[in-house]
Amino acid sequence: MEITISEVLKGCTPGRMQSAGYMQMVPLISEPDMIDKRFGPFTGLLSSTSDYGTLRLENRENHPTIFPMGTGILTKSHAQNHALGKIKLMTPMSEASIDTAACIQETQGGTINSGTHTMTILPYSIREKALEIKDEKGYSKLWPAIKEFNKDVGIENSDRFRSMGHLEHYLDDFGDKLDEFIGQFEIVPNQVGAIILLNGQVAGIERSPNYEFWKELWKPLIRECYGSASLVFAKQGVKPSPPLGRMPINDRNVKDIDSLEVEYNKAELFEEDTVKNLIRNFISQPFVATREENEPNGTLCVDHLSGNQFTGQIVRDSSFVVYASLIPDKNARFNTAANFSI
Amino acid sequence: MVNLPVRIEEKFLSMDLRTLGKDIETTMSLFGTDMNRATHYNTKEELAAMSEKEHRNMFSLDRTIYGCIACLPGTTDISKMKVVTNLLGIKWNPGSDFQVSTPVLTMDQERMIIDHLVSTLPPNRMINLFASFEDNRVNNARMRKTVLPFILNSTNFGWWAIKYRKKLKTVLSHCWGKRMSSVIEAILGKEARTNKEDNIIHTSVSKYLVGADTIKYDSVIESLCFIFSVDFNFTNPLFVNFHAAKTDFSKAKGLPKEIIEGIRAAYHPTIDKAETLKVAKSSMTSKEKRLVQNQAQKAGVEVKWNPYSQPLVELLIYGFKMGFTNEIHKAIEEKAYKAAQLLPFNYEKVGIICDDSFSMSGSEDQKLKALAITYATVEMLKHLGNSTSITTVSKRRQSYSNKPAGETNLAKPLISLLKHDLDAIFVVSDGYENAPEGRFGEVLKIARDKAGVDIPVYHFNPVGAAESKVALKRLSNDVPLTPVTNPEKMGLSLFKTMIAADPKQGLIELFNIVLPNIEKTKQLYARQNPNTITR
Repeated sequence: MEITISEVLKGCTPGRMQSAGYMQMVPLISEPDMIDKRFGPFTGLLSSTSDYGTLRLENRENHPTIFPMGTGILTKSHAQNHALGKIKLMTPMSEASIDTAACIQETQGGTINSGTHTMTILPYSIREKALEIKDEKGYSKLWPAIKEFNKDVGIENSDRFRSMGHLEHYLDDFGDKLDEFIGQFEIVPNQVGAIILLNGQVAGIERSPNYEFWKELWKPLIRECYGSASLVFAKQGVKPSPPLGRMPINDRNVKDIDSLEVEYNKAELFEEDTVKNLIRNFISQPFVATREENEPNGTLCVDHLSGNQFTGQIVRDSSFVVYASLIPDKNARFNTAANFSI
Repeated sequence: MVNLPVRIEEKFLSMDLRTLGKDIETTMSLFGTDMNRATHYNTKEELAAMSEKEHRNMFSLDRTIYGCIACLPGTTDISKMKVVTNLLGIKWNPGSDFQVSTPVLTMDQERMIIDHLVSTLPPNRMINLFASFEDNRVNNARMRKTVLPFILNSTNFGWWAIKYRKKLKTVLSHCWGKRMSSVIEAILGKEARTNKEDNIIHTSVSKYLVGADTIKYDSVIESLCFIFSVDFNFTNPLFVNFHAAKTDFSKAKGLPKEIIEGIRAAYHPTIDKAETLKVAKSSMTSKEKRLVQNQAQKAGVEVKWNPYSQPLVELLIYGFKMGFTNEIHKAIEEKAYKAAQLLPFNYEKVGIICDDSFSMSGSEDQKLKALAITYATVEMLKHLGNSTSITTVSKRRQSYSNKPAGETNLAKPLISLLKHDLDAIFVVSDGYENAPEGRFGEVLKIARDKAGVDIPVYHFNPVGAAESKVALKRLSNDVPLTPVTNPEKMGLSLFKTMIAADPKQGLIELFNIVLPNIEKTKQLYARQNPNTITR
């Protein structure tokens, strides 16, 4: 079965691009009648591990929810933090046991007791790897990716445990920088998703069922997932490229405040057009959708999408997409948004 | 305007003003932030050492300018306490190694500064400061002439005697000396005193009472008897109830909340803890009353409180949670007006950009704090001009009921304000501009370079404790940044901005603001009473 990004984003309109540092975000705003209010918060899910590599989820609410793609469970108790590469659809009053989870705390023993735990979205490169090997069994499967990531962001090797497959060091060591990173971006009213660009290239398309869900997803997704890529760029000494579509105000014609306003409006219009062109550029990209999960006695389902430039997962209700997480395919990594016309 | 100190021109000539300005800036930064606590970056000990060095440096440059800086609104209580300790502990000795030049102000004016600083401390801090003199070896006549009038003349002395009994005993014993304290304790317990004993009480107590009559004298003696646990036939209801409550809890009514809780826990453990609230409601401080509003509402207990005695930011946070009544609106308006009078600006027409974007929601543990600081700052700044234009980032009409929402576009409101003929523009924002980043600075630069705009633009950045670890975001290098934690006390930050721009003018403004204030304190705290009062 085929699906296009146009269908994934149906019901959304692009908002005004926000840009700061290495990242740009185009908010996706939902049309009021397209908001799916059935879905409740995912942070209320009870989670636990019954064995290394097996994550149990429980939804005790009367509404469905979605365990987002690449979500990690963090606990302060003596238990091994775990994460899941794929989406898990949780229908009302349901339980699930997933044996393809991965440990993200290499040398910590112990299983997680059932409860509502802090959730994170894996750093960008680890999330990408986790999606790639989502169906593989093996609790240690993400340790190499975590080690690589820790090295990339410069987590010291002085303590041998710090150079191992421990994700918590990243969250502990870079808390302030990540706070500063997320502080630069803001949720706009009725926002349900975003197109994320990193250093001028499309790095992700995210969509959620409703504003409340997006508000909940915002911090772990932007701060901990996309914020990680910003840290890697900084560590590598990559200079932030000029934001896509950022046009300096033409000051040649400015003589007074009125003419300044005219030139300001021109620059703003150009930036809006760039956003539209950017989306237009990949809106017809086709994906092959493979069914992963069906709601028992219902119309919801989870599909895995693979295409020429993007890969990811969606949740849909019949043909209408309510949740999506798409990232560039590794082979077409950081898909440039070239070819737009002015 | 006040008469500037005669030695000020001399000072300007004798010193490199840029260096002095830099030193003053550093001192102001320290005075505005020193909380005597470890931070993300430094241990408490490291910070104490840095603080000590800065205090010594400014003190040695000019001990009276050092004192004046501490009088600015925004100085933390900890800084005030350190300044008072240094001013009282180090002899007035111009020309010595440690006090290079003759101070700008006189010794009498320095005493007024000390009195002013002490008078602005909350009672618990003031008593802690006095109690610290023993450890810091501050022991001289100037110290006694400061401490004893403040303690003994307070109309709350009886209340403090109950609440801070042990600490006051330490303070008084240090002022009088251990031996003399024992002597006084013995005299207080006597029914009849000799002339010599009367003289001792006069020299140690009544000499420091201002405008005292026998009623005040009796009340002071009674409080002293309570502090030193002297057997006495108490008449003050506080002391009577303190003892009575040990057997009958209902008698605790009117005592300080923590004392009531202490009596309940020690003598009436079977009584429910919630009962403390009912008994304590008449005696809680305004802050305590505000803090228990939620709890009281749940328990069905009405605890009246006075919004005028609350800080502006706390009033706004309270309003966000419980709603804005007319009384709260009025209190905000009045408090903002009063606080604005202490700021060194006065314009004809000002414009304000108020950032109410999503990021102003604040961190999880300080919900809406940034927004409360922002609104409080805007309320104050609007009084700095005879007419004010306010524009919000969200394009909504400014209202306390607006929840933070949307992106941060500061450039557009700037253009709209630049169209008015303004004398100054104030931007109150966390500085996280994203639509796009840097556009505000770009617009301002073009406006200045190409459109001939020369209006001063100031950026006020609300800082909540949680965000203080993160570096403050500037809008542009051309726009002076003033961090704001407590808008009512942002005088210090604003002066810092002024001193950086023009040290000489900044110093003149410093005296213009501080000297009238310390004069007022002088009228309140006369020192000695020559008349002997005895019973």
